[in-house]
Amino acid sequence: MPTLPEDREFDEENAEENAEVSRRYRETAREEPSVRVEAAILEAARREAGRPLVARNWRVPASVAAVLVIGVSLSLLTREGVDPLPPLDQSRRQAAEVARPAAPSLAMKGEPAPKARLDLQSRPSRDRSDRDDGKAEVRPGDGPANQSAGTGQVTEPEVAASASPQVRQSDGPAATAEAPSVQQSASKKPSASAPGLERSAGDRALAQSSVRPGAIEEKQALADAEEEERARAKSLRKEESAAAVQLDAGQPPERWLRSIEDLIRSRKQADARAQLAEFRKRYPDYRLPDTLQAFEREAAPDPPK
Amino acid sequence: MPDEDLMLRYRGGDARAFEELYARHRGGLFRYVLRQVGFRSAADEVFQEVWMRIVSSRARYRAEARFATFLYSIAHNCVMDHFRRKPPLQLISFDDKPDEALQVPGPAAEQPERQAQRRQTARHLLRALALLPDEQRNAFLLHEEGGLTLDEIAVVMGVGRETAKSRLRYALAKLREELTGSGIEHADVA
Repeated sequence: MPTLPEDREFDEENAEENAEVSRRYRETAREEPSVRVEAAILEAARREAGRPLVARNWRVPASVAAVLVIGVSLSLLTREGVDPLPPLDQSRRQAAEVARPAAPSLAMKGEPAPKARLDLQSRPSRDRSDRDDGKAEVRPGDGPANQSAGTGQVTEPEVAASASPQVRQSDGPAATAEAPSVQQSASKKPSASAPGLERSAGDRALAQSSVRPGAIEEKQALADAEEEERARAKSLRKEESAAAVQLDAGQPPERWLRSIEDLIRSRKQADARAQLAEFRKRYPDYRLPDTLQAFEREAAPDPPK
Repeated sequence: MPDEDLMLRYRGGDARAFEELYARHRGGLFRYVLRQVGFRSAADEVFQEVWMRIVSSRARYRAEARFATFLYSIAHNCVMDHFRRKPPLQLISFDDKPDEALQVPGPAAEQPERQAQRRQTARHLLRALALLPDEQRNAFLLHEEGGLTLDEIAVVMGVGRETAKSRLRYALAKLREELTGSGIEHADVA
């Protein structure tokens, strides 16, 4: 029997008598389990040993289930409390932001210069060696001579002359040497002005800031595009408003009225008016709360005198 | 090989390891259960339940404590469950076949008187054990049959070490008293 120091101390008390009790007990204790029970136990143990060990770990599936339940219920709860439609100002801003970058790309389809600049940056070193071999140097003053006639395309020297001090600063004197080869590649590859060309914000600013013959048309196109976007946003807003009315109309009247009050509080007067009108259509006899009655009176057009 | 290793091997699918483990603990565990529940039929039932629980829990077994502690903890719980189902009806508990318990082996050339004396001693001791309060009897049996230390007894019984020590001390004192009082001890020892 294993003993600890404390047990030893315990055993030392009446050690002889306790040992005698223990000896007597062990002499007496001879009973054993029945053969039938033993056979059953050993058989069950063998059967169980033959089975593959499957860890019955319930914690992982239980925690996954708990996370799912909590997540779904939380998302449902938060969705109820959140206005499903973005505020009008926000949608307008978004529409304007969408319209702004779209306009220049429509207006400047024919301009290859930014692509040429990209080509410039991504040219392999072989081109540079060609360039070094050619020893050609183009100065900003040569710009007009390089302008392609009739196509409206602006070649690299113009870009360098109009808005590329940073290019010249960063690339140093070599930047001027790069220009002819760039011009060659741009003129050899008309696809450099493809509509799908992506421009960086810096390139757009560069293009807008340059004074070109087509600038007025571009501005006009930009204005048209903005107008178009504004109209689109307006129609979208109308659709959203109608959808919101339809959505709210499916609610019980009390809840619908609460959502109308929310609209008034968030200063969406037009939406609130539309919703209230729809509510009146559906529930003509329903008694409105005082706040909504006041709002209805304010919203109603003045009777003709 | 330690019990814990045998159990781990059984967990890995080695049925022979279980057989060895079973052979080591079968007698002690059975007597522990028998002395608690009092009847062989009930003891067989509880004993089988204990081992079935060991078998079914093999996948979850971790060698965090001695296997004996694990085994006797399960046995203690099974005995408690048994008493919940069937409360004890008699205070003095003997085996169904008392003669079996009293077949105390002795030297072959022992005198019949001597054999009778030995049987009487065993009878006294078992009666004294059966008359002990449940907690004291439990502590004594865990010590004698399970070979558990005081700390392990405390763990199995769910009490503090000092409580376990006190219970075991009282149990031994009463059994000593019984042996001395019967006058058998001195006669045998002499």
